[in-house]
Amino acid sequence: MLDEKATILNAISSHPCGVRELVEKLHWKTQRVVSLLKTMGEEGFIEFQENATSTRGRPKKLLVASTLGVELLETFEKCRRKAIQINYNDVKSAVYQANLAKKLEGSNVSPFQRFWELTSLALKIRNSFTVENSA
Amino acid sequence: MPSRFAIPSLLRTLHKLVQVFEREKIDYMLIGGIVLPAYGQIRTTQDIDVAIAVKDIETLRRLFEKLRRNNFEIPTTPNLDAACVYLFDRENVVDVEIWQQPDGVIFDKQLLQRRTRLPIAENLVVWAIGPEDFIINKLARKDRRVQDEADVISILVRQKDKLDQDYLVQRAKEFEVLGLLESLKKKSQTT
Repeated sequence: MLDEKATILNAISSHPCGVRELVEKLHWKTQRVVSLLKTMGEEGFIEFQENATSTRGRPKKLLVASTLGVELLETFEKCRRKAIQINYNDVKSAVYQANLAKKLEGSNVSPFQRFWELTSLALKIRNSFTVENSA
Repeated sequence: MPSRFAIPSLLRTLHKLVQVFEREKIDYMLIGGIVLPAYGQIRTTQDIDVAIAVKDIETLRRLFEKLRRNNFEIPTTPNLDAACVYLFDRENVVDVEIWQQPDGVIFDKQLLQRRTRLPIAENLVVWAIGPEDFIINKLARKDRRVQDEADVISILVRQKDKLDQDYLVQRAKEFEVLGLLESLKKKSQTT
């Protein structure tokens, strides 16, 4: 639900539009969009503004994100950036690392020492490549 | 107080490998996380990945023989069709993956020309995969992790103007990862 609200806020914050235009933009079912907009309106995340540039008939109502809506969107984006993103292969890789640490200990090699060595090697590779390229 | 742990050396493993490859005149290059600090973010990796170009079984047999003599444990018999061979350097306690058919990599003229010489120690200069092929190798992996995508983004950010975009797109098309590459390019612009 929060994902969908953020998607709507994202769509209207960059380009205020009417309900029909929003439905077309999102490719969602009209009923779903209308129902979400109703809830979001009640929660104070969106507002309707009359489009002053409309020339004929009733002025068109444009959906805009309220101050609270903008705040929600920004917080949502911040949280999404902080979320740990992994897939099954990352988990497999973590299991491999854990087993390797055991194997190292079993062979009398300190995993910390190995980590330190790897970090020094990574720095050496970074520095040697930078020097080579700037030479 | 002396540590109860011996100090192993990845460099020693690398040195042994490179010596064998060069003596046997085998085209090779480092691939995977170990090369990443050269082009992208600094991240450590626990194993060594090497891609080799061996076309005949006799050369592969000779290579296995030489590696075994250098204390590498190889649990399999030489097989040209094996995508990857897992080695273990008993002396230094290091896992090595030797790739005969790495994902997204074809040992052709272009690839070999684009390899980079990495001087990683006073007496050790190694061949490493070029940045564009590194990206495609990561994206074409069958077991691609989110970490691989993050690695690619770090290269796109750091090597931005230095990458050969035409070559990158050409390879991405060949390995059907163009869509993924484009989406990571977009992400790299907001990073």
